[in-house]
Amino acid sequence: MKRKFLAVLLLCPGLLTGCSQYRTPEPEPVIADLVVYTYQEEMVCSPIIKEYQERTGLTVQVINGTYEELREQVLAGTLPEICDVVFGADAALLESAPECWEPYASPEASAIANGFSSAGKLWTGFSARPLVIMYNTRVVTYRELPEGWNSLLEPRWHGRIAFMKPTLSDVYACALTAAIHAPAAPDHYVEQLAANTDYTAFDSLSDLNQAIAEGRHFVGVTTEENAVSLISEGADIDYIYPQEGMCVLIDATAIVAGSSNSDQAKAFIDFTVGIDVQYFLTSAISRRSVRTDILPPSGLSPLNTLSYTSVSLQDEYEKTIKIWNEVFPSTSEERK
Amino acid sequence: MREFFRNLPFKFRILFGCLAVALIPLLFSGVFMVRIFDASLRRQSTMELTSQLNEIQNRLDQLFLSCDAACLKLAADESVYRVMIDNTRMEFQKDLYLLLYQMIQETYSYAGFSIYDIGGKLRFTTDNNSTTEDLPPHWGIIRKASHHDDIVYYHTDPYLTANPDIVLQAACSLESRQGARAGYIVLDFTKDSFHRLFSSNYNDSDVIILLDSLGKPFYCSRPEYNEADIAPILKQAASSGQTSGFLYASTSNPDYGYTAILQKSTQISSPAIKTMNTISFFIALFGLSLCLFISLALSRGISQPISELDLAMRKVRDGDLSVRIFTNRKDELGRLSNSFNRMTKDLDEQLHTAVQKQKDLNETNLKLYQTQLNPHFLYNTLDTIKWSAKINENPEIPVLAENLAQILRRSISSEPFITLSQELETIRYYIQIQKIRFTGRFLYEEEIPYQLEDCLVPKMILQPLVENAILHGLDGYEHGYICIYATTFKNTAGTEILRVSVTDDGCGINPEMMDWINSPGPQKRPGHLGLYNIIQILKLYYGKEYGLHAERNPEGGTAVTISLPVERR
Repeated sequence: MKRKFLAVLLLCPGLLTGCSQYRTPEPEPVIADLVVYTYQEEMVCSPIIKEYQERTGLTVQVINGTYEELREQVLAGTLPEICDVVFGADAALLESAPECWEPYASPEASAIANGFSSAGKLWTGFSARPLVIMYNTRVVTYRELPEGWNSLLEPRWHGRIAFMKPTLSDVYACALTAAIHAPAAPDHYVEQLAANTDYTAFDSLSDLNQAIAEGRHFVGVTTEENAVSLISEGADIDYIYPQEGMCVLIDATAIVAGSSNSDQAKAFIDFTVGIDVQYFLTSAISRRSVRTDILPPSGLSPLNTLSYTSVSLQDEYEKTIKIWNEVFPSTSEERK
Repeated sequence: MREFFRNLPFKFRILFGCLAVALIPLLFSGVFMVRIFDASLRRQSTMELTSQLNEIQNRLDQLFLSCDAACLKLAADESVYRVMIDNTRMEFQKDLYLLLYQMIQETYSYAGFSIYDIGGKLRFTTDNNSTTEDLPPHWGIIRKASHHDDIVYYHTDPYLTANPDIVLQAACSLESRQGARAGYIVLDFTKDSFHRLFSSNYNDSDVIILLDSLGKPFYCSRPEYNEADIAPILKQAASSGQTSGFLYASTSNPDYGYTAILQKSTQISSPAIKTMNTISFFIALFGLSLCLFISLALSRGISQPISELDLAMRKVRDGDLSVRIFTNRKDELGRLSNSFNRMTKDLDEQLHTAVQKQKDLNETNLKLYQTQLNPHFLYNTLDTIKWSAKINENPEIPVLAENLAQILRRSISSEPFITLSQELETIRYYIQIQKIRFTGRFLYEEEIPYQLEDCLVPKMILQPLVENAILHGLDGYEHGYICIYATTFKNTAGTEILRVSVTDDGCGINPEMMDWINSPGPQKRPGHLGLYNIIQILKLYYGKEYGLHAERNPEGGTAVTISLPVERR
């Protein structure tokens, strides 16, 4: 009698739940052949990844992060859990944690310009982005053009300098480090700059570009590629290369040490520095190639005709960010 | 469980029983109805979904097939190749456009045809508003076509195309018969192409999504949908699941490298199902309340009279016979209550009668005791009279006094019952007295079988009868005859009955008197206290069936008989 009663009891909820919503089984996650981590813009990475997939037939999963997130992942050493390869990341960041990467020398390395691949084969350059000082031509006349990093400290730009937090952007981490280490740089450069920016800093590079293009801010630092693209869109801006020496940001690709798809990762690196992708970079995205056998985008001088600072500054990134963190949050909080 | 039900009050057992009988079928039928209804609707929707998806696939395949055919025809035409080599002559170009428009008649409204040279430079196009620029020769569609002999399909990269409306491209290489490549035929499919293609295939609530060979969506029938809207649909389609209100199905053609996904809303939307569930819930609730109400009424209707009966029984057990159950029901329970009422009423009356009987007995006894007081004094006085008459030598007076004294002594004795022989002895004393009074007027005899002499009778029971016979029966007769005889017989119940009769041959009893004696419960009558007392004594002691019976003898005279059960000492 007890068993029967129990059976009826068990049957009733079964019937009742039977009429509830149909449960859908969770789809099985697609197992990617390669997991790529990048913070490159969608318009840069998406066509390249798509072409790679078209050519190889492999499934590539893309994790779109930010410079800041990648920095945290590198510092925490958790990259092997999430991806096989880091694509288009700041070479200085990759260099700062050599233990994270699996050394690899691409067969295409011979075609890569000097300084655009790692001495220790930790990373392979993908593109070069020289930093420029951009200004709005409607508010900055040809007589008062900025000249170099120290121009950013001039009182005439007070409150009109667009600057971004170096913790959030490799462009600004590189720019600030280059400015601090410039030959004629004054002491306490960061403090002076913070005062001159009126203690405001941007969180996004596109906002910053927009602010200068619209004339809300007069000058700022950006990449050559951004400046060229804005000019081609008809914005009233122009740019100069800093007179202290041009700083070039290297976007590089590295294989994460301990990756289970190491072979696919190597093939991917070969593809990214291959002539097709590099040509695509210059022709479709107006970005400088790291290869010597490809001309820069139309209207730009070849790198070797410009003086540029070597990437040795990269070791100083963390120090720069430390100084920034000391100066900026405290002053901004005080002002608040 | 069974024990639990057994211990439940009767009322609750009926209640639970009714509830179970009414609710369980209701619940089961409700649940099954909703499920079967839902399942049949889903089956119907799934069939519609499949046929719709097949139609979509047919249209796509048809379009691609006709594009293939047009491309191959163009590629096979030597004149196209010639124009690519030599573009200086205007008539060649005119011919080419003519050929182009002839070839693409079928597909004109769905795809734009263009011809690129091997460097990716646009040479001819059917798209009048073309914004298409040159194509990179080592990238994307041109590269893909260069690596394949037949037509290839390519999901156009949204970041690279100058015309964002172009979502899909197809291309095949243009080669001479000797295999020398001169350019590429490229087909552009825009979102509008697919809108037109599917326009009759779906209604507003359906969503069609087309994926490329890499699983990336390149077309959605809802222009307002962005990636975030499409992602969950892809996820559901991949699990071939059903979410609330939607059905999903997908089909793919590896030849053309596309996957088509159709999201269709079910015929009955999720809110409608919810409403149905709500309605069935409220029906069940209504059923429950109705059932509860009826069950309560029914169980109360049955259990209330029973509990009243139970309570009344308890009162009766405690001695309260006045309890009555008031009911106007005509059913079995009503009859039961009425029977109970009748039973208690009868019991009450019986008890009342018994008490009254006892009271009467006590009264009679009291009177008897009271009558015993005077005879003592009389007895002593009679003794004095007797001795004084002896002294004065009057012979009759001592005899009278002696016999009277004997009678008195017997009548005042404390024993209520005496043997028949003792009773007859008393009668003999009485006869001696009466003989002195009425000298020679009557003859007295006894006919008593010796076996009956020790039968017990109430004392002084015969004396009033003999007195009546002498004083009334033989009144005016000079030679009367009085006889006392006794007989026994067995009645139908097997009890032995003693009958003692006093007969005379006198004038006979008058009929009125006889009727009074023979009536079942004679009332007290002035002047006939003796007879009344005899009747009462016999009926009280022995029961109503015993008593006194009088009859006139046919040859004259009266016989008065007492009947009582035979008891011996």
